[in-house]
Amino acid sequence: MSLFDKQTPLEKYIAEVKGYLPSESRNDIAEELQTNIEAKISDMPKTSGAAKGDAAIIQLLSDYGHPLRVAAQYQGKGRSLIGPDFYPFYRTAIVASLSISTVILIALIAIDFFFTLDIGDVSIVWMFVNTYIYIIGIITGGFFLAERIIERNHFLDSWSPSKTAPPDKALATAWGAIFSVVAAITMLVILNMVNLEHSTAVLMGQTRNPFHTLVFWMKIQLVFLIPQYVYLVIDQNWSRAQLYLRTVTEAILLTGCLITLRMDTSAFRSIYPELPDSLFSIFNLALWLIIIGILISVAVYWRRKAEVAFTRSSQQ
Amino acid sequence: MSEKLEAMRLELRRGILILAVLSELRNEQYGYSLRKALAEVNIDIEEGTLYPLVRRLKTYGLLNSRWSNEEGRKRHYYKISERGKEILTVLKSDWEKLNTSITTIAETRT
Repeated sequence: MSLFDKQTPLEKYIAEVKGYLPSESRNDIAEELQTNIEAKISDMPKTSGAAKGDAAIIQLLSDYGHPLRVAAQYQGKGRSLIGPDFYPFYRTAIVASLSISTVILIALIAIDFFFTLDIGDVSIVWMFVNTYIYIIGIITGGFFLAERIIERNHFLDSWSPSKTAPPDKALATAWGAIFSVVAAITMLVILNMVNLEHSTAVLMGQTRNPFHTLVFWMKIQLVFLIPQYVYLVIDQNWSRAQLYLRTVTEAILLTGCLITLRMDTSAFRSIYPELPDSLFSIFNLALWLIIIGILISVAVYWRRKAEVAFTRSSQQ
Repeated sequence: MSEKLEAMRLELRRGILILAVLSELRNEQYGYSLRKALAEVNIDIEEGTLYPLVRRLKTYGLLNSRWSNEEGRKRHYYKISERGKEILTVLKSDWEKLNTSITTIAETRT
C-alpha cells in the first residue's frame, strides 16, 4: 500500500482541489473547504441517519462535484486556456493519446529492430519528443478552438429538435468521437514519421514501395477524417452531407488499398531481401480486411441513417 | 415539468442570494452554519455556490472574517462589514420595491 492510499477520501479530495487553485489563496480556500465538509460529515447522522463510513463520505464528495469544478467556482475571474467544462475531456484525450502513441511507437521500434523497416531517419528520443509535442499541441489547439467556437456560435441556443435523432438512434457517442479524434491524430502523427516522398508516383504505386503508397493514402484519409470526428464530439447525429463526406473519406482509403494490392512489389522485395514473405502475406491480408471493413462500415452507416429517416417519417 | 420548475425556483433564489447572505451574516457564521441557517428559512443553496460567493463578498469588502479554533476545530467565521451594511440597506430597499411590484402585478392580473 502506498503512502497516498493512507489518505482519507476527504484528504484526497481536498488535495486534488488544491492542485487546481491559484497559489496565493490555495491553502486558505482548501482549509476552509475542508472544515466546512468536516462539519457536514459530523452532522450527517443527525441529518440523514447515514453511517459516516467511507462510502457515505464518497457520496457526499460526489455531490460536491469534480474538484476542478469546485476550484473553478472559487476563481470566478479570468479564464484558463481550456475551461472547466472541457478540461476533464481534454485531460482524458491527452492521457489516452499519449498512451496510445507510446504503445505504437514502441511497436514501431520493435518492428524496425527485427525487420529493419525504414520508419524514418530520426533518433528514438526525438521520435518520442516530436510525437508528444505534436499530440499535445494539436489536442490543446483543437479543444481551445472548439470551446470558443461553441461559445461564439451559441451552439446550445441554436439547437433544434429537427436536428436531433431519437436518442437510441444516435450514430456515435461523444466519448466514442473523442476516442476517434485521439486515435486519428495519433495515427497521423505516427504516419508522418515515415520518411516518404509526397509525390504522385508514390500515390499511384509507381515507386513499388507498397508501404509508402498505403501510408500516403492513409494520411490523406486521416486529414479528411479528423475534422469529421471533431464535429462528432459536438453533434453525434450526422447530417446527410456529413454522411456523404464520410463515404468519400472511406473511398480514399479504399482506393489506396486497391492500388497497393495491384502493385508489383518484386523490385521492392529485391531491395529488402531480409523481409520475410510472410510479412507480405500478412500485409495483403490486412489490406483485404481493411477493404471488407470499409464496405461493411459504409453499409452499416447508410442502414442506420435510413432507419433514422424511416423513424422520423413514421413519427410525422 | 418538475425539473423545469426546480430550475425556475433555483433561478429565483439565486437572484436574492446576496441579499440573503448579507442579512444572515449580521450574526457571525462559518460556511456550513450559514448554509444550515439559510436552509432553515427554505433558502437551500448548494455549497459549491455558497462558499465561493461568501469569499467573493469578502473580497469586495462587504464581509469581515476571522479564523477561530474552538474545541480543536478550526472555523472560518464571517460577519457583515460596515460597507456590507450600507449595501444591504440598498439591496433591501430594492427588494421591497420589487416585492411590492410583483405583488401588485400578481393581484391585479388575476
